Amino acid sequence: MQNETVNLNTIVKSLHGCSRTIATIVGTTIFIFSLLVVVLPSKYKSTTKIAIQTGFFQNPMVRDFFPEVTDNAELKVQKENLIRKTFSKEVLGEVAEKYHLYKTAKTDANRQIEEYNLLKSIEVFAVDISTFSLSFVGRSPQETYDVTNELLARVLDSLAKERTKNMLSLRNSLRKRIETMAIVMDGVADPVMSARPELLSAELDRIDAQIRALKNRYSDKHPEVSKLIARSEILKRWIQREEGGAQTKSDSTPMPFVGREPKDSMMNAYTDLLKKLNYINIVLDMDNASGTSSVAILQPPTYPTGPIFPRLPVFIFWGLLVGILLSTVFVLTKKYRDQTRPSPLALAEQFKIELFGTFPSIDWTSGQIAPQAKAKKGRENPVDAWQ
Amino acid sequence: MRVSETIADLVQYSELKRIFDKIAVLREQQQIKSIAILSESVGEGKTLIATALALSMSQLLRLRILIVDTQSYAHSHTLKLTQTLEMDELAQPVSGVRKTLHADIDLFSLHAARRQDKHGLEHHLDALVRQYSQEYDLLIFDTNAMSAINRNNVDPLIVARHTDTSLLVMGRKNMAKHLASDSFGDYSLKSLKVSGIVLNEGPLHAK
Repeated sequence: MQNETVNLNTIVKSLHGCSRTIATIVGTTIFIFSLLVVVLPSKYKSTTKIAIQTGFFQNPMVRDFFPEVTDNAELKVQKENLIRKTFSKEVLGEVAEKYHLYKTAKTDANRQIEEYNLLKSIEVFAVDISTFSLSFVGRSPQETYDVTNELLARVLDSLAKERTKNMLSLRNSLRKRIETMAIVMDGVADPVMSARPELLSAELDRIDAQIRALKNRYSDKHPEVSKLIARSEILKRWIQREEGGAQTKSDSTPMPFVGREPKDSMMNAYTDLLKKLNYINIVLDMDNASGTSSVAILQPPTYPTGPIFPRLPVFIFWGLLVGILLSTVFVLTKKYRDQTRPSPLALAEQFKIELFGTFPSIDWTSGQIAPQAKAKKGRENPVDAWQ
Repeated sequence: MRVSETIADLVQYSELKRIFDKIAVLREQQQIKSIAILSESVGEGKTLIATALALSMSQLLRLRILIVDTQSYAHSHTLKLTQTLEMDELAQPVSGVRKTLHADIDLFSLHAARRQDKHGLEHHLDALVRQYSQEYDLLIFDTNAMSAINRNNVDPLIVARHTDTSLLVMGRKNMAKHLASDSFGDYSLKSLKVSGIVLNEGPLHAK
C-alpha cells in the first residue's frame, strides 16, 4: 500500500486536480439551496420602537408614593415586563381572530402550539434603558404590518391602563385614608370637602346601630350613649349640609367636630394627603386629556420590503459553503482511498506471485478500452508503471 | 457491437498483448498444457479473461484451444462463454465439444457433460485433461468463484489441482478485501500452482 503523507500541498493539488468535480458539487448545492428559497415558506418582519420614560413610574408630583428605582437594569426589566404583560392569552386570541392567524379550532389540541408559536413570533427586546423594539414575524407583508400595528396599539393601551390603574389605586387609598382621618379627627377645617356623603351615611348608620345596642342596657344619660348621640347629630347635620348644596356650604358658621381634639401632627398629615390627592387628580386628568406622556413611539411599524427568510443571497452563500465543504470532503476522501487502496504490486508481493498485468476497464458500448481507465492512470501505461 | 466482437478486438491492444505474452512465455518455459482461471468472487472477470486469453493465444501463436466451462450456472449479470465466443450453431457437438466460429477454439461444457455422469466429473478431470491435451495445445478452464457455495458446483480448487497452472483474476474493487481477508491466503495459492495474477480494472459486473 502507498503511505503517502497527506499535507497541505497534497490537499491543494488534489483540489486543483478535481476542479470539475468541485464545480459540479458546488453548482448542485447552490442550485438545491436556491430551490429551497422557492419551496420554503417566506417569513416577513415588521418592527416598531417605543420609549417608556422613567416618568411612567415616577411622577414628580407624587413621587413620594412610588419607590425610587435607581438600578437601571431593574428599571429596564420592569418596563420590558410591562410590555410583555400585554400579550396575554386573551389579547393574542383577539389579535389572531382578527387577522386569522390560527388555523385550528379553539378546542383543537394543536391550538396551544399555535398560541405558543404566535407568542414566539412576537419579539420584544430593549435597545437601551428606555427604548424597546417590538417586532412581529408573519407570513405575508401586509399581515405582518397590520398585526404589528395592532400589537403596538395594544401595548400603548395596556401601558396607559396600567398607569391609570396604579394611579387610581393610589388615589382610592389616599381618599379612604383622608376620609377616615376626617371622621375621627377634630379641628379639620372642612371635612365635608373631602368626605363623601355615602361614607357619612355609613358612619351614621354604624353609630345609630351602636346607640340602639347600648340603649337596650343603658339610658340616654349614659356617657357613652350621650357621646354617640352627639356624634350622630353632627353627622346628620353634615349630611344635611352636603345635601343642601352650595348655599349651605358657603355658610361661614364653623361646623362642630366629630372626634377627639386634633393634634398638629395629624393635621399636617391630613393636609399633606389632601394635597397629594389633588396632585393625583391633576395627573389623572392630564393623562385622560392627552394620553400617557411618558410613552412615545420612536419608530412606527415598518412595512416589510422583503422576506427575512428565506433570503436568496444568504441561501446562495450557504449553498456555496456547503458545496465547498462537501466537495472538499469528497475529493479528500477519494484521494485518501486512492492512496490507501492496495497497489497490485503489494498484492503480488503479499502472495509472492507474479503480477501479469492489469486488464483495463472496457467500455462495452463502444467496444473500446474505457477512456476513463486511461485518464485515471495518467500518461503512463498502467502495466509499465507497475513493472 | 456484440460482446464477442468487442473481446476479439480488445486482444489487439498492447495492454492485453503484454499480459498474454507473459503467459505464453510461461507456457513455453514450463510446458503448460492446461490452465485454470480462478477468482475469489463472482463477476471478477474469469470468463472475460479466459476468452481473451484463448483468442490471444489462437490469433498470436496459432494454438488450438479448448475452453472448458466448469461453471454449473451463470449469474444473470455476469458474462457467459456462449456470449463471449461466437458459437457455430450449425456444427453438432462431438463428445460435448462445441465448435466456435474461431477456427482454433472449441468449447467444452463440463456441466453439460456432467448430466450424463451422475458421479461428477471432478474425479475424472485427470482423464479429461489427458484426453484433450492430445487434441489441443492449451486447455483453459473457466471455473466457478472460489467463494461460491453450491452443492452442484464443480469445485474450482479441485479443477486447479488437476491443471498444470492457474491464473488468479482479481477485480480491482475487491483487491482490498482480498488483501485483508485471511481466508484468501488459506487457499494456499502455491498448492494451486497459481503462476500469476491478472488485475481486472473493469467493473465487477459487465453489461
